[in-house]
Amino acid sequence: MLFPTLDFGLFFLIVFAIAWGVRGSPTGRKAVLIVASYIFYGYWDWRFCFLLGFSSLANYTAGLWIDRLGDARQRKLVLIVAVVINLGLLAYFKYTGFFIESLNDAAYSLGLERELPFLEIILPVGISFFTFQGISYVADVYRRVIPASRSVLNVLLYISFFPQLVAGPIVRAQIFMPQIEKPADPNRIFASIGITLILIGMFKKVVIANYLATEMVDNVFFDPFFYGPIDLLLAVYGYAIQIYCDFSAYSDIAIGVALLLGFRFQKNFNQPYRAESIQDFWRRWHISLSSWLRDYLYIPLGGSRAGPLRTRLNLMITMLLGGIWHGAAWTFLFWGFLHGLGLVVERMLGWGRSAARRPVWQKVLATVLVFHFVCLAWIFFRSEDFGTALTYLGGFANFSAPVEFATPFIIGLLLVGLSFHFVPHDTVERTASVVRRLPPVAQGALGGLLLVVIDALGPEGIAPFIYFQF
Amino acid sequence: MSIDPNTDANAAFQRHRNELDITVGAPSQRLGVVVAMLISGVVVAAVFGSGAMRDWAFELTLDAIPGAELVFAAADTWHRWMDWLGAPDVFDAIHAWIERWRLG
Repeated sequence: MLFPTLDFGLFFLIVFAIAWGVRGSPTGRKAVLIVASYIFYGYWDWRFCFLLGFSSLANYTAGLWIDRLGDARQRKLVLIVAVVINLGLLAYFKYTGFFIESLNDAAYSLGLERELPFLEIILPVGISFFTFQGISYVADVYRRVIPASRSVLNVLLYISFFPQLVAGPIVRAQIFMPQIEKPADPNRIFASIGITLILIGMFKKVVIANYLATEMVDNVFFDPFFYGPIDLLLAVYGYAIQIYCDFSAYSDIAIGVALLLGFRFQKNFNQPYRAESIQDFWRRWHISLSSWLRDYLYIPLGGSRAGPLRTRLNLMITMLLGGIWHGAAWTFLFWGFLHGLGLVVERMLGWGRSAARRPVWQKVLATVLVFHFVCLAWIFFRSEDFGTALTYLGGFANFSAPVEFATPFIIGLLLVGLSFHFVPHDTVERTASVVRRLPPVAQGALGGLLLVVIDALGPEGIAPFIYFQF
Repeated sequence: MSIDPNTDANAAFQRHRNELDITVGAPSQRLGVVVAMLISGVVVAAVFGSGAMRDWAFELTLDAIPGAELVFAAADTWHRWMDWLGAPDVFDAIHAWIERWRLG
């Protein structure tokens, strides 16, 4: 069930009515939201509901167990078992095929002809996200940041809550659990900001991301050999804007939907393409993942406090794992490597630290350079394989190809997509405050009208969100 | 310097916690107001998006369900009424405008 569809619209209205209708019974409300979340998830493939349930129950049990144990070594052992179960599920469903294929390739290059059988394993949508939420829960219980939940409903809801289930944001247990435990407050719903976020998200996905994908990006990345430098440059800019508009749209809609149901998520994007350093980029892009990697991987590895060499190694390990988290392919690993390398070089040269004191022209130059570095890395991220990525890069010397995509429509889409980065950072909040001055019926009518306008502006059909494949 | 992965990681998270909360200082509404907003939004969307609603109803795989004909008939009747009022023209005009722009 995709967000920008009538199916989801009706589903949401029904869930909204029932969930608020039973607000007097916190247990009933949780049960309604859990059932709704499993229906939402089962819409793709009902069999994976069992996987989601197993993951939730395993983390619930591990949390209780850790909480009851007094001995530090035993607590750590249970944490390790829980993390292994979570990562084991992820590894089996996401990486088995990749490992077998890589082993077969390696064996073939060594002259061995016997091949391991290829397993066709369907990737359960959202597994990378709910696995990381599960780890976050048991790790936070282990660290005594939150107490283990006695109620299985709380953990089931935390892991499966439908707005963020399949493509994030990765919500921390310490943010979400206290909200589940408190009764829903019908006098404090952040509806104006929620609806504003939903509409902005719809526009970004339905209009900008969909058109950029269908009109240019998919064609160029399918076979970059036929295109010249201008089209290749436009297509990688296009992909940078598309993936931002696609993924941040999902987050915006998820946050908006959660707000209407009385839950607060944290911001997941903060104008990433105005970053002045790679480090700054990662504080603005997919914040829930980058902060997860920082808090559950980089800092436990020693962070920046174990000497310069170890810091560089920790950065590289974190970014390599962040890369492979996105997908089981060498191109994703290389994408992570490029970002890791960028962070290491930046740290060696001290660029990140001096950013605030730079004159304006240097800040602008830094933003342009960082954007182009990120675009270079996107080429590997988006390409089917290394060969396609190298063909893409080689195409920048192919000056004989005609220019095809430098049309006012494409340039307009790119500019509108980029413009989200150069408006004041609190534009959503300001817009919501302005809209809120209208009478409620007028606010709703405006929202309904804008929804139709967005639908009319978009191309036929809705492509799945890019991050569903991760 | 020694590192405590537990406290250090949590401190890092807490430092940025409020910066990422979009609702800090934002206005909130009562449930009754939100319900009024949603109802008016649904009505306006159903009027101007009646064509999309009819298409959606006809794409539903409801053939096996008793009463599916009623859903199709209701969606079609609603669209004909809206068509008589001229409401779907808004959708068509916007779509035609962007198509002209797209095709140059």
